[in-house]
Amino acid sequence: MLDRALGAWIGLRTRWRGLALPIFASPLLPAALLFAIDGNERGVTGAALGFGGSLLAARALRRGRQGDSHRAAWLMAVGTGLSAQMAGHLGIPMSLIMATGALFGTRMMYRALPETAPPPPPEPPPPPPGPIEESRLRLARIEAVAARRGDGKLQGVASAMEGVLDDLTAHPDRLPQARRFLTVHLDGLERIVERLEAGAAPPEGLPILLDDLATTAQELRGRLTREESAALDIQVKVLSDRLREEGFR
Amino acid sequence: MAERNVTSLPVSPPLTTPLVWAWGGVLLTATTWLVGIVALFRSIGGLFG
Repeated sequence: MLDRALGAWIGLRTRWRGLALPIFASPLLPAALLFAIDGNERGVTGAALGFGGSLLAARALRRGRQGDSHRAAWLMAVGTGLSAQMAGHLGIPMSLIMATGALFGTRMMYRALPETAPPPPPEPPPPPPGPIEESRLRLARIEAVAARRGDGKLQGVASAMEGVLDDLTAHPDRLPQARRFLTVHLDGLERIVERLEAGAAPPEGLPILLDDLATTAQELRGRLTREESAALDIQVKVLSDRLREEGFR
Repeated sequence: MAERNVTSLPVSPPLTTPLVWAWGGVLLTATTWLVGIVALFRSIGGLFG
């Protein structure tokens, strides 16, 4: 019975929490006004800091996250201490006593009220696409334009380059050898496609250039495969020699 | 012996909690509110002093 009554009381206090703090500091408002009429800037500042501290503390308590009641207690302590020193002229020792009292008073007054856990940190953004993925995106745009224009040669170059990208996806270690090729070919193709989309008439040399681009793409694929074959050949020879030296053959 | 699966119930605050709240209120009255009243009297005194 008493537990339930206490629970209901806690619920009520949780709904209204923090709103009492500015009421405790409310005499500072008319004090600030009278200090202002008197031209006492130090008094106005002290009273404003004290009342402002209580407002900030109330705001922190209204948020109700873990650790907010501690924060609110410190804000009240700082506000009360500063107003005691600047507006109340109580001297440093008495101001410190007042600040300590406000700190413990706020802590005690808002004890046992529920606080929610802070929200989880935002998820890190996804990593930027790698060079192959980025090249695929650029190539997809070129392919879309080629398909829309019904340009067979452009589509041929795009599909040859897609073959290179497929090879690089399967063997990413070959990427350093093909990076320059990808940059030159993709940049060139993109510029050509941009001009064609802008309404430029294709020059006479364009079909030959596109043929060259397709051929070099195929040559690159062949070269990369040959290099891989050569590496395997060397590996086989080395292993055979080793077996012979060790007397296994 | 098999261990029993014990789940902890949420701990309800002690029944003396309202007293702690009340003492907190008294402390805030004796500090923050009192500082405000002192400042108010000082400001009135400054006007007529």
